[in-house]
Amino acid sequence: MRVRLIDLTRGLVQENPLLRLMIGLCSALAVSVKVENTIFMGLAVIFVLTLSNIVISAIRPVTPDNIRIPIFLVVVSSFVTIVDLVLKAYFPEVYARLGVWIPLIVVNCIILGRAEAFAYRNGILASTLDGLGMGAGYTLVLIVMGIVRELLGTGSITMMGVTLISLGTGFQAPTFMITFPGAFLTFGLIMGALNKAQSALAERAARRATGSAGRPTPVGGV
Amino acid sequence: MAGGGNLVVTVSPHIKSPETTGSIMRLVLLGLLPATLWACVLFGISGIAVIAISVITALFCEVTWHNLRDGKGTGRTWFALVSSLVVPIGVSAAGLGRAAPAAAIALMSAFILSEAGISRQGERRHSFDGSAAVTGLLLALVLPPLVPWWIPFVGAFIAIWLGKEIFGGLGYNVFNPALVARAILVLSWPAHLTAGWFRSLGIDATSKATPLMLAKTGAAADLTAYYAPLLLNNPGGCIGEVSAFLLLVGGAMLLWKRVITWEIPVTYLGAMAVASVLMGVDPVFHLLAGGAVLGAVFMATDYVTSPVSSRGKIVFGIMCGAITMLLRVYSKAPEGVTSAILFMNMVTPLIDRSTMPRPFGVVRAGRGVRK
Amino acid sequence: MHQHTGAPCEPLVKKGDRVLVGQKIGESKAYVSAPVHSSVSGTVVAVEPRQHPALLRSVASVVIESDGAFEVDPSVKPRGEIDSLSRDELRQIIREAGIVGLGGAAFPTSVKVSPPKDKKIDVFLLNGAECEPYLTADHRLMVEEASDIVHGMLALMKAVGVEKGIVCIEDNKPDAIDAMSKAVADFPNLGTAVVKTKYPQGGEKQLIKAVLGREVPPPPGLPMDVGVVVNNVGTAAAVAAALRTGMPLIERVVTVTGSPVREPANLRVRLGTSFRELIEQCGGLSEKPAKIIAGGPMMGIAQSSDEVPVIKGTSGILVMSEHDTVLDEPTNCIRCGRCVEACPMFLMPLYIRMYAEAGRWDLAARYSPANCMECGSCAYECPARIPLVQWIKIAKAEIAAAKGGR
Repeated sequence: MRVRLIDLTRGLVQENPLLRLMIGLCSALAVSVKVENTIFMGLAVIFVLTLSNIVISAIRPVTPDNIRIPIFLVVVSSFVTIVDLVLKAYFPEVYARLGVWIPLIVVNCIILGRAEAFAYRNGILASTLDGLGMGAGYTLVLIVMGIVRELLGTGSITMMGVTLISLGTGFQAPTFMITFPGAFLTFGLIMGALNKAQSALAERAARRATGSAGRPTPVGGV
Repeated sequence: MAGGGNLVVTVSPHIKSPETTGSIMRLVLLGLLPATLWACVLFGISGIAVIAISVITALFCEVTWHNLRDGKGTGRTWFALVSSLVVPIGVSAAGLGRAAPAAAIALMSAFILSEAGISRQGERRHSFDGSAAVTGLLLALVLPPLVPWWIPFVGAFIAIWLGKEIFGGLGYNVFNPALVARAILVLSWPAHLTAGWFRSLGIDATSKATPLMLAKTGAAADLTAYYAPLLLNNPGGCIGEVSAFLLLVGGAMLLWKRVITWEIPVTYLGAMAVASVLMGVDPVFHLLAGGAVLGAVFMATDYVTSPVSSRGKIVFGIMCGAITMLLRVYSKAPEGVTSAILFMNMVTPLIDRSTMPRPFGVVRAGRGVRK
Repeated sequence: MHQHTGAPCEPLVKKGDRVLVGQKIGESKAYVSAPVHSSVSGTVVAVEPRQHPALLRSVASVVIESDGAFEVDPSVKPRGEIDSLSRDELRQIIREAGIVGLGGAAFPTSVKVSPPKDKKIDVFLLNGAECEPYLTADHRLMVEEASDIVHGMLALMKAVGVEKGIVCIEDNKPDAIDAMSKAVADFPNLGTAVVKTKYPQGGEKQLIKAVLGREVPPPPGLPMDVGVVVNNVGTAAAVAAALRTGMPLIERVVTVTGSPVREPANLRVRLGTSFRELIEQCGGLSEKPAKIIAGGPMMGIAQSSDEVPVIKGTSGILVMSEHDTVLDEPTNCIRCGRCVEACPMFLMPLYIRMYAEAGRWDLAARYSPANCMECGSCAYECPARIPLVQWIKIAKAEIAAAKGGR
């Protein structure tokens, strides 16, 4: 079995589950009010996604096609239960804040989607890499959103009771950023920035390829 | 030949109505003028400052965005943006808090004037269609007169950048930009946006609540006592809520000039009156209080975010009025105009699609053509 | 050779031939077509492609140098009284005289007066509503030649086979209403109708709606689908001429106007006369023209030169100075809804344009651009100066092409 780097990196940008595939959004919008939450949530998703990918890929030969979805769900919910119990036991505060979103990982589109679209069709190693990459892509976006929203919405970033960054007392934090509309706005702007950056890169590449100066001037009107 | 060559060949029609986007926007500004001037008199320097910052920032946002979008004068635009943010903060930090808004206004005005006035090689001067000024003014009119100066400043950035330009500019925005800004400002700094009502004339130097708030909490027993002040010199409310009468005067001018049509204002206010009677609250008070008139005449009639057909406008107005009253009576907040209009903005494309006029000669099921 | 809607004619003459006034010089076998006649006597100096004022490209033309004698062709002779002619004979005369709708569209009249058997026609409308602002050719004709118009109208009605006829005139022309009312007074089956003055009242469909309250179905619907045939007053006058003198359609009334024209006038001109000659006849120009338009200001076609001939469909020549010419760049649509309000066909031009610009022809088709008659009202009103009519034309063409491919 060949190890392909693309299986790992695919989830980071070009097929980022949040920004590109646009799946698993509700948990991302909900938990990104605080950086601390996003890290735990991200780790939980990486854990569940990778392990369920491995198991689903491994039991491929014995999985009947007709009832594969229930089987996926059983596998995924086993791992989610593990995460749920571990968090409850060792990080009760975090668990209290993440609340319902941990059990909801069971029905997270990313996990079921990758199981169906990737793990069920690929080898164990590739599925492992895919799980890690997709999970990392999810976590990355989550952390960026968390930083933007917590910093602007509360004026500081606090983790495990320690204030890491503060914008000072003179800063009147717009609480809008930690509301739900603020989550949509942040997410939309990040997605817009990524699209803009990608089209700029593609344009530069195209310009280099053709050797011409700039894109053709668009013709306005009729 | 007689013409000596060089005839212009263009597509028909060869004559055009004298109306342009710019002329329409100027008329809207003119329609807002009576209430704005009266607000300046009533609220004095604080009202004038909010209006000036809001309008100038809105223009500044439009120029900077267009420059950056078109790749025109990128360097100087970034410089202007950064300096108009940093300098006021610096002035403020140096303990000269009152000079900060003046510094911001001066910097932004200088940039706007230079972009509009100086022609540079290979560049077209910035031409204003007036839409940003309308947005800026409307934003100022939905803010309390005593807000800190940076509220209209930030609000104008939100209105122009996030409310309008990010969708593709004038004509493409889904929501009324001024109301988007107000909604975000209220969610961000509720303390600033729900206080700061002020009256510089009269005995009652500061009143802490608007008539709508008093009515909501039941503190004001006799609402009829508010009729006259609401009509002429509202003791507590946003800058644009000083006088329902002057707003109606401006609205009548716009109707006469055919800038707006009767459908939305009439159905909006009509639906509010009907709804308040049904809900058992005072209809006259609710029509005059808060942003009802400002919203119905100047906000809901925003071309971009309201339906285009006559039937669509009627549906839009009725729904706006009904939602406003529902929010005023049954929600936590005393006012519902902003949310009602924003909500209806969202369904405008749907209304447009379902109220498509019947094309000439087309027979639709159940609706015969005379024959 | 292509002066009308339909198939172009084949030239019947060649270089060096001598032609007489009223001689047929072009003809086509196609049903939807009309022959072309010489308007002067003289020598054919060329049969070659020349600039066409409506198609904006070069079209096969016969160039005749006049000998100034205006010698009339022997084929031109009176055709007798209406009563003595059968329906088919009348239609034949109209066809042979090369008569087309003189309102501007130049649709062959012989086709118009020959409705299929299954269509019951009960009313004949004579269109005296000016098709465009600025143009007054129909107005003057009604005032000056009312009896001819009525004569032609009766002939057309007989050709169609319809009893009831109504002359429709806009309410800002009291003298025309007077003249026409007097002219129809002797005929109990004729009447006049006064309609509101507005653009585009002269459009067939608008006129039928205004006078009879009937709505013509969208294309391919025609006025005859609601039992109506509409003809222009100029057409009726031409029919009268063809009957009384036998002279085919070789001249028409053209409005020459515009701010630079010294003496704006309605001129009866021979087809083929160049725009330049007409403008000179009207005292020339007081300033440099920026635009010369064949037709009216709303639907007329801007010309690249004044060396183009008057054809059957040329209802007016409009000269615009630089000051009159609007050359604004289009800006963003602000969805003001003025185009929706203005559209006489009750369409939503802004949406057609929006989807056309995005290349979404399937969605544009929902807004039925095919109904558009290209009157230009929407583009006139548009404060953002968007060329709406052109977008709709593009949408029409694309949608038709997509249908054809299916």
